[in-house]
Amino acid sequence: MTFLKTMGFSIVAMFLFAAFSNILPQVQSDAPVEEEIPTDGFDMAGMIAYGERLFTGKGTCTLCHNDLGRAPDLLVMNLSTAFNDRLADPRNEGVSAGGEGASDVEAYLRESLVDPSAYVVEGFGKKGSNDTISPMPAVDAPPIELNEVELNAVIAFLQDGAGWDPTVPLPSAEEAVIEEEPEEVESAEPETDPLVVLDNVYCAGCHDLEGSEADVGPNLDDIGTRMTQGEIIEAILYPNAIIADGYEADYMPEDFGEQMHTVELMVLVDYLINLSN
Amino acid sequence: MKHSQTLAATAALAAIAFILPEIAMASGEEVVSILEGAPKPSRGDYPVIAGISARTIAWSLAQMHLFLAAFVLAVPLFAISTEMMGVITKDDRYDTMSREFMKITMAAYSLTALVGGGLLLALLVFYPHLMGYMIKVFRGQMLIYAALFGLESITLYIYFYSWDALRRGNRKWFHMSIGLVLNTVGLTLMFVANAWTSFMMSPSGVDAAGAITGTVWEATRNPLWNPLNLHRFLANIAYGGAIVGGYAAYMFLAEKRAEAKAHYDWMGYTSNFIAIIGFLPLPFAGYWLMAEIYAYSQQMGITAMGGILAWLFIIQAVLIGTIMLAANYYLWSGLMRTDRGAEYAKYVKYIAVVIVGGFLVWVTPHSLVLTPSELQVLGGTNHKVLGPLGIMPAKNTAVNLMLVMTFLSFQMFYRSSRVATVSWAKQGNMVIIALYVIGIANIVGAGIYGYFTPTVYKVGASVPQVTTTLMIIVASVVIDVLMLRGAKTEKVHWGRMSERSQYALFVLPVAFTWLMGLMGYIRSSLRTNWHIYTIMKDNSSEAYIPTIGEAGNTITAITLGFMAIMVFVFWLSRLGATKQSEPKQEASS
Amino acid sequence: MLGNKWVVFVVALVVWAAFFYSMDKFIMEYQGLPVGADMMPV
Repeated sequence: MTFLKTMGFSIVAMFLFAAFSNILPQVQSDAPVEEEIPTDGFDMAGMIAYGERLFTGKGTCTLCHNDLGRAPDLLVMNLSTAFNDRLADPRNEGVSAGGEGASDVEAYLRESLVDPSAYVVEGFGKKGSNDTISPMPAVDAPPIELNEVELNAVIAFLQDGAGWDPTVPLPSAEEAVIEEEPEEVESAEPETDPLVVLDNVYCAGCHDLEGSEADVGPNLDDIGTRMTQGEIIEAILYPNAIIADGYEADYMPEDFGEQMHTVELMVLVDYLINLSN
Repeated sequence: MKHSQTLAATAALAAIAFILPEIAMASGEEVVSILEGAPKPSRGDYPVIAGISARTIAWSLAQMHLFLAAFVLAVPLFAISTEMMGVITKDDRYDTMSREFMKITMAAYSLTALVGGGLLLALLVFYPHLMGYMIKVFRGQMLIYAALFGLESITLYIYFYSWDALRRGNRKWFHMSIGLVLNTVGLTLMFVANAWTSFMMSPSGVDAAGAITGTVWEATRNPLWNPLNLHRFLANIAYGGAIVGGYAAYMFLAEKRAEAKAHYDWMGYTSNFIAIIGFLPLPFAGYWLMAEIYAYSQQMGITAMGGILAWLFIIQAVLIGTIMLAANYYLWSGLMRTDRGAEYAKYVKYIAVVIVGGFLVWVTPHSLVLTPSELQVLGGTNHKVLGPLGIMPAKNTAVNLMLVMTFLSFQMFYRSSRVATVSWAKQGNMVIIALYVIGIANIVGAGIYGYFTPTVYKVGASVPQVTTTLMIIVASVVIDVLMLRGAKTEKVHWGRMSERSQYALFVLPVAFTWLMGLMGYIRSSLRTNWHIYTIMKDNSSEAYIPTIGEAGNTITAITLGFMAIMVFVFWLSRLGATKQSEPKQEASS
Repeated sequence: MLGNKWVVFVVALVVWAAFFYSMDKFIMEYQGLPVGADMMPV
């Protein structure tokens, strides 16, 4: 009897732990899958978009380049001034100093990616190294292992982020082996019905939309009169980049880009624009 | 044994001792043949056998081997300590208990070897390329491991079976020397195995392609080796203590004789004490391990603490909270063993409030993954009031306060059976109270400071917190020892314990086992899709990090298996002591 | 004077506070993190 009681008790305890692990969010992290895509129709816009996927996916850049202060928050800061400042920094030994450092933005970005310690932005060096050693790994080496095309794509994305035209070459046919980012969400067919998308991401939960009267974020019924298509896309993907007057930052999740297929995003934005007409 | 034989045996042992390090730490000369780097098996190169999940098999066997090995290595460590206590205090109870500890271990030992063999076989069958490479890197060290295993068996058997033959006088010292050899061999075994594990996380002694550039010693002494050694050493002690505690609790419940109940109550108390001793410094070792992981690879560190594995630390918090609540509940119940315990029992409720409060802070997640409707209710991913409780300084403060309170619970029980007779007893108490007040204020203060400062300071401020906790413990032990010198001891009524309190002793091994399984899963997952981080990719179909639920189910299955094995082991050790009574007819005829 | 337990208590409070403060300061500075009022706000 004692045996049954104690064993029963222990097994119940164990199953409680197991149950708890099953009610938490379930995410499976897959290894990167190599996938060939045709070069036809892969223009610079595609390259930039690909660079962005790498930036948040396989490149794992956002692990540190975020708002926690580990590394410069590249998605939020003003990249054009920053890049110019850094090229002009005498410590960079770049074109201004006549040194061997990077002399243009593309070269600077490439150097930062493959040899991060060549020039460390002030305040972001390893502790005790007086900004001579970067905590960033070289991204062309394992475990990240970006190839030449992928490096170009990330550079294109960052140049585009600064408002400039990317100077990197497009991939040639033989180079065009593209690694997909690890899939972290169960993928489904994209929804094309805006009402279904709207229901899935549930904008009306926080925004006043079609009578929902929520007031965590700004009213969306007349968004088409206040913003362009591009601005709406930006506001969804990077909600903290610009905050509407009277509202606080950090309330809107930053992962809507991951929750939606591109098709869904476009359908949703079109729907919002047409709402005010 | 004749002198010549003894001499020959000694010479052989000396030769082994002399040669082994040579093989183990082979110099770079013989390396030339293996310069091509780590193998790159493609998916088709991984043997698929009848659709069996290779990873689940290897995972289960590795974890099971680790459970058993941790137990088998830890018990001799504290058995020799309690044996020593017996010699010092001349109290035979310690000696009897130490022998009983070892008795449980003996049955578990052969199973450890069996499961270890199974693990090796599984790895060779399912991961031949990885194992081939590992054998090249560690060369003769693997043979040393096998030799040490033999030595471990010999010393373990001699240590246990000579117990009663070498029980008194000078012979006792001889016996304890055997125990010392046993423990040295056991720890060496663990350190060697840890080198292989930590090499897979932070390879050294090889170049970026995996070609061997250094000696075996350089591969052994990789960045994460020592942090892992310390962490596993402490955790083993806590784990071993928790398991024998469960054994004692079961025996306490099953025994009817008052004398036996008293013995097992005392054994349960001592085991719980050992578990807490091993447990208290664990956060410190864990911090060191984590800091070294960050120093080795920022990316690996962030994968652990900020990536998809971050949720697992919530489960870890629940488990550790459970362990602390159970250990404390047991200590509080223990106050009923002494007549003066009631004086202290009135403080229990305040300690309970701190521990439960700390537990709640610890399980508060920083940002929540929510459904849209939950998001609407909460008004954002961070709760306005509770959100700040989810960040690291608050959690560190909570766990340190919980540790301090656990120690206080123990200290109260210790004092409830002793009345200080030194003249400065009142003043001494004041010094201790002041220590607690200032220490707690310092922990809370550092937490608040961390809350208002940037990330580096948040991390930095956690070090003084842990140091303060250890300082409170060390300083109050020192003062207590001085103050209770020659104290009037009162009788402790061993066995005067509620049945319910014994269930707390069951929670400990269950939660510990499950927790170790969880941490093993996290540690292995840090390598993501690499067999050997940055050197050798895992290209098998199972190179993904499973979901928390899937991991939880696997861990539960392994824990159940381990529990079944332990029940069998305990049953065996009792069976050995059971004698069939002689048939009556023969006696009368 | 040290016979009174409350006097001892107050003295002990001050001594422990000084001890822990210097310990904190030492540990923080050892980690390369200066301790000062200017570091407080984010």
